[in-house]
Amino acid sequence: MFLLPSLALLVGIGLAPFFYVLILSFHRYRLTWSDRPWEFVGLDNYRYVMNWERFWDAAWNTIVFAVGTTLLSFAVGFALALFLSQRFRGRGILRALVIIPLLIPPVSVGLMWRFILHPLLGLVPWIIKSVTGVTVSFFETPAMAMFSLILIDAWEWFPFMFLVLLAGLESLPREPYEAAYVDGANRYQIFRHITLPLMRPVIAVAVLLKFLISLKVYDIIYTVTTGGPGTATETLSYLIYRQTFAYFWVDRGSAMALVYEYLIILFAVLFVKYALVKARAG
Amino acid sequence: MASVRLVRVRKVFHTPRGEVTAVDDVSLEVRDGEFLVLLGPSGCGKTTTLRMIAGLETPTRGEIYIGDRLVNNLHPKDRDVAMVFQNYALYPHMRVRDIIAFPLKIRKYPREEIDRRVREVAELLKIEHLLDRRPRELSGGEQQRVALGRAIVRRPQVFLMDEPLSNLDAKLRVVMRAELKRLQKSLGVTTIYVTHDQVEAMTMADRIAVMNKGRVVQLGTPRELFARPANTFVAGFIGSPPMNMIECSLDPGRGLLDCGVLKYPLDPNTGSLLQSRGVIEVILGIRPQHVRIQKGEVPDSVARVPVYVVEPMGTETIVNFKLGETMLKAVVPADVEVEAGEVWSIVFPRERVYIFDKKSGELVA
Ligand SMILES: Nc1ncnc2c1ncn2[C@@H]1O[C@H](COP(=O)(O)OP(=O)(O)OP(=O)(O)O)[C@@H](O)[C@H]1O
Ligand SMILES: [Mg+2]
Repeated sequence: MFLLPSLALLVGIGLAPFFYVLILSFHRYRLTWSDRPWEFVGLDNYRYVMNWERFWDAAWNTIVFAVGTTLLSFAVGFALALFLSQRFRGRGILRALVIIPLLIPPVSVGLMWRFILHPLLGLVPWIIKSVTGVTVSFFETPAMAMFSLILIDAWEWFPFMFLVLLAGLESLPREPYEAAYVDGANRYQIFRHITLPLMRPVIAVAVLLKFLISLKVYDIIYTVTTGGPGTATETLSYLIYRQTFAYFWVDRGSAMALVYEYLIILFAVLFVKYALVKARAG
Repeated sequence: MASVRLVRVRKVFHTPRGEVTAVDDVSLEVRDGEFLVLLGPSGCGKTTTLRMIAGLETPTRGEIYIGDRLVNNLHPKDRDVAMVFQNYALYPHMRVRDIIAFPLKIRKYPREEIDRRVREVAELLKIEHLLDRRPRELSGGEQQRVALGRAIVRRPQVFLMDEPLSNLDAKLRVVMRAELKRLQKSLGVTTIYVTHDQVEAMTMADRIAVMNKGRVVQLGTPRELFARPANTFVAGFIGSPPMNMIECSLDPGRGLLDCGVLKYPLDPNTGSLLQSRGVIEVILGIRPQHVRIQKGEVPDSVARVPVYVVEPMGTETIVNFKLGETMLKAVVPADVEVEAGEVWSIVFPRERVYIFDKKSGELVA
């Protein structure tokens, strides 16, 4: 009885928009057609989306981007966490410095790097040119643009990886390490046979989280490349945004959003099933 | 193989609530191939001593040598010691098989040799059926045997064992005691073995170092420690039931020790020795096994008192007498018939009596 109001609220906030989008996706509707009634078209929108090359290109771009930035931010974050979990003077200051990128709003990160990598005004192309004489253009070719995006996003996210992995490292038990020292293991062997297996559950969670977050990337794309050159760095979020609010194809956008949502849920389920369960089993 | 030498080693822990001196000025030489037991009550610094030898703690002061090499600044992995940890310290993510194989695997032993040795060790420790389990699927005693297996699978310079049998049941402990001792003798690996069980110490050790409050209070063979305890601490720690300790004061005029109900006549030499040292208050010690009791009157009895409690133990009987505040125990063969309340004469054979200075606790005569 007392639950009813809060339940209603939950349904209203959480599920109503979902159903609205779901219903919308079976109709024909453009934002510019505000006077026309919705016309039921069944699976037409889905058929359109599934056969639309640009949708699949965006899906591929999303995955390339997500895999790239997840691996890069993990590698950098883990290396730093390993380094800064050791005891030495100045460790505290370094730890604080590492976290800075996390504190800058994503939009600012995008704009900042857009300037730093700008072919004419940017610091990095200028340095590369003065040192090697080579002119590098960070956003010109599709590959370079995607690479630059991954670089920028990983720069924003490696502190997150760092924090999660550092917390994991610091909570590992001390006894297995002492036993391994006495057993004669060197640093590499300890990393390989003790740290890595003990960290597996933490690594799995961190990587999964970052991957799922990366699949939804939008802000960086919007501020840095706006999906360009052409549609080379257009990700699903960005494509849906464009379709819905730039071209006003709300119906198609809804269908895409739902397909996209299912893909993400599928990934999440697979990951939880394999990565986490396997990690727990050791 | 190698000897182990500790020279004036001290370890102070700095805690938020002040300094703790865990090991205080310990000097010790363990000979090549020797089985040395560190024996002492809980908290006396046994584990800390072992951890310093392993390289897991740095001594606050003093030097540690393994062989001729000063190892104070040597990393544990370069000391070539194998250790059984008091808390086992097994690798939680590995199977028993891989835990035992670990020291060999990282030394790149050939696969077949690793398998063979793991099998041998598992058989010795009776854990063959557990090889595919992980530590959390094992009981305390099983984990302890795995920890032991990981140590003895290798042939190091030194074995360090921190109460490696404490969690086994009584029967298995007796078996393992013998197996370990035999293994140590056949391998000839210098071994430092920590325990607070005096029976384990007496049966296994070549020599025992008795520790108390961070210091080594006596070092000697089991026989020496039993026959000539250097102080009341060792006297009370070794032997079961513990040595009787009776507070007495010297009566130089009558040439005896006055212990209340009990009067012990001194031989003239001992009397004058005590007097010359100015020792008046003493503790008279005698092991329960050495106390003689007789039903009738005997000329050299130290007291005639009623029996307080009789404790039959099977092969022998413990007879308790109440002497003022203290209880005197005598161990007699089971066929001696004693009833509570009967009055018996007590005899202390002169060569079995120890006299300690009450103030310092040191053996005087
Ligand atoms: N890391 C530490 N920090 C502070 N104090 C410590 C530390 N390790 C040991 N101690 C203290 O040092 C003393 C000796 O400890 P140790 O573990 O060597 O005793 P032990 O003889 O092994 O005892 P037990 O038989 O109970 O294992 C104890 O008083 C203990 O509280
Ligand atoms: Mg201990």
